[in-house]
Amino acid sequence: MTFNPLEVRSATAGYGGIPVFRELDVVVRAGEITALVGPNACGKSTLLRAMSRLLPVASGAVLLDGEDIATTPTRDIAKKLGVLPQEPVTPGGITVTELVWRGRHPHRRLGQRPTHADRLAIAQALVQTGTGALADRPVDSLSGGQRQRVWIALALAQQTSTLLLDEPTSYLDVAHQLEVLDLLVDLRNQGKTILIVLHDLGQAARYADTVIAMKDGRVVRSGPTREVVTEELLTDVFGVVARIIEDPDTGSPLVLVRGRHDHPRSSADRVTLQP
Amino acid sequence: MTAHPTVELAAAQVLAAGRLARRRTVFIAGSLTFVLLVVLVLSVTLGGSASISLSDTLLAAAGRGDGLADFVVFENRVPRSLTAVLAGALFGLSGVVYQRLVMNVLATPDIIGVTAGAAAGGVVVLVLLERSGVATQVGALAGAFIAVTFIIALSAGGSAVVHRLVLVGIGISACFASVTNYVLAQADETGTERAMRWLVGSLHGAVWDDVRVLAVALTLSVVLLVLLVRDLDNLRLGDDIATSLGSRVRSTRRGVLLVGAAMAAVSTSVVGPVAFIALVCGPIAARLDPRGGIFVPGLMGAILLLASDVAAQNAPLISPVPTGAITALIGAPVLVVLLVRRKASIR
Repeated sequence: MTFNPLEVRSATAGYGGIPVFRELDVVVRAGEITALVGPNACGKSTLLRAMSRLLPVASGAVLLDGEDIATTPTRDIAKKLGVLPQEPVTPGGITVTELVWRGRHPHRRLGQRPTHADRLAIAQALVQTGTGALADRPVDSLSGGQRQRVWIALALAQQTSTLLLDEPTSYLDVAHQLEVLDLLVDLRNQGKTILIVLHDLGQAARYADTVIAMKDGRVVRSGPTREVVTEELLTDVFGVVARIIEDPDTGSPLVLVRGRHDHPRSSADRVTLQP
Repeated sequence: MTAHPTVELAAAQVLAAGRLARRRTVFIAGSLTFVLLVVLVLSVTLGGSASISLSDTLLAAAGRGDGLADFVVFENRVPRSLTAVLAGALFGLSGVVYQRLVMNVLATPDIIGVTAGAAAGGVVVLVLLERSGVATQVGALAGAFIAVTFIIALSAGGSAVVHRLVLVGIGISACFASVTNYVLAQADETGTERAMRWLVGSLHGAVWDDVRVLAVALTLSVVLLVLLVRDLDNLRLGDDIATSLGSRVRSTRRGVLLVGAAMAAVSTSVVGPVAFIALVCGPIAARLDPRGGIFVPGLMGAILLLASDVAAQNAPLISPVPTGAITALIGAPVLVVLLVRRKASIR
């Protein structure tokens, strides 16, 4: 019997006794990039925190490979599930290699000497994220994009089959955003399951296999990207007018968001843009 | 499994970097151990007010001294020196684990109220119950645990815990200082004198029983810290990352707070609240070896307290003074420097 790597069953979670979402059901499919999208305060980050045991669920369950994460030892979860929270804090002075070494924590028993497998995992994480040249630099001396890749390297060193990332492209310039997203596709191609919270629906449309759209703590729609990312979804969930065209080069959906001042060049081009 | 050549190359670099860092730590720890042994020999041969000639000391050490030299060396100087070594190591370790937990160089047990709690507990036993010895230790431990319970309870609540801890601790420190002052104000002259001597921090009159208590405390603490230190290192990456790496955040934090408090309390109960040792070990050790872990600062604490004691007994013009007076003399300027250099960080 095969399980979905991550399943949320009828889960309720929130802060200070006030639920952000109630009785939510979500399935993350193996070997895909799943993007969790929605407007601010829709509960997508809270859902990711609940799925990664950073926030305990008030009721319901989160299943990792079919096992309830609330009753699984946290170290065992760390061998299967890597998490990159939003804006992690960088302690002063720590070097890139030292930071990435922490990713081996769940695999190393107390007092155990570092093994060749450990060093290979570190090396692989550094090479894959392109941070090998930064190995001896202090993390707090790096640029935002470099730092983000180092944090991803930390999660990769855990060698988990599933990765959860909370807005890993925020605050990065366009080149670094692409680098991070391309890396995620590489990892997906190697068979990892990836769940990513994204602000930018355009990025979700381009990179995700499956999109889960949330609003007000509910899942509004979920499924293959082409089916979910539609003009109605943008109106219903984000409250914006948009056109979705096919990317002339790749064929993936391209989201064109329309503001109040966007007018067609001539009336023949499109009848109306405003609702 | 054969990895890509680039990965193999990077793995070799990771191996080399690890070796280099380990060699440096071994070198620094070795050098500090050597310095400690030198100061230890100095401490035993110089001694204090009882003037035993160097040759008598050597004869006693060789097991051929007369009664007086034997007594002074083995019942006085050796236990006093070992007490300084063990208590110094405990102060140093307690300081550095608190500094790392709170990620603030000022968050040592003596500044956030744990030592003040131990001091109040000790003074209550010394003055009100008119007991000394093991009873003082029990009193100091009780005081320290009351302090740390307050600190945990008042600073609990989400991720803000770490930032509130210092503020709450300073308040708690003031509360316990007022308890100490109240008890001192109630005491008669002999009680006050005894309490004051203990409060300044003195190694005078240290005996073999003190050495045993401290040795047991240090051994237990080191074992517990070995169990906790990797999770403590993970906590420094933030609660979320630590959790996702498989560390239990709350129990690690409480464990470190309690072990640190116990270390500070036991050493305080024996030698009194010796000032500043806990504060300065971490920053100095970090200068010598930024990747040195928590045990190099412990070694540093042993050296500092022992050297301070040698100075307290032998320094020209001022000696003999209580050891705590010397550590304060050295430590206060270091505190000022740490406060002025705003980027002072402890790894």
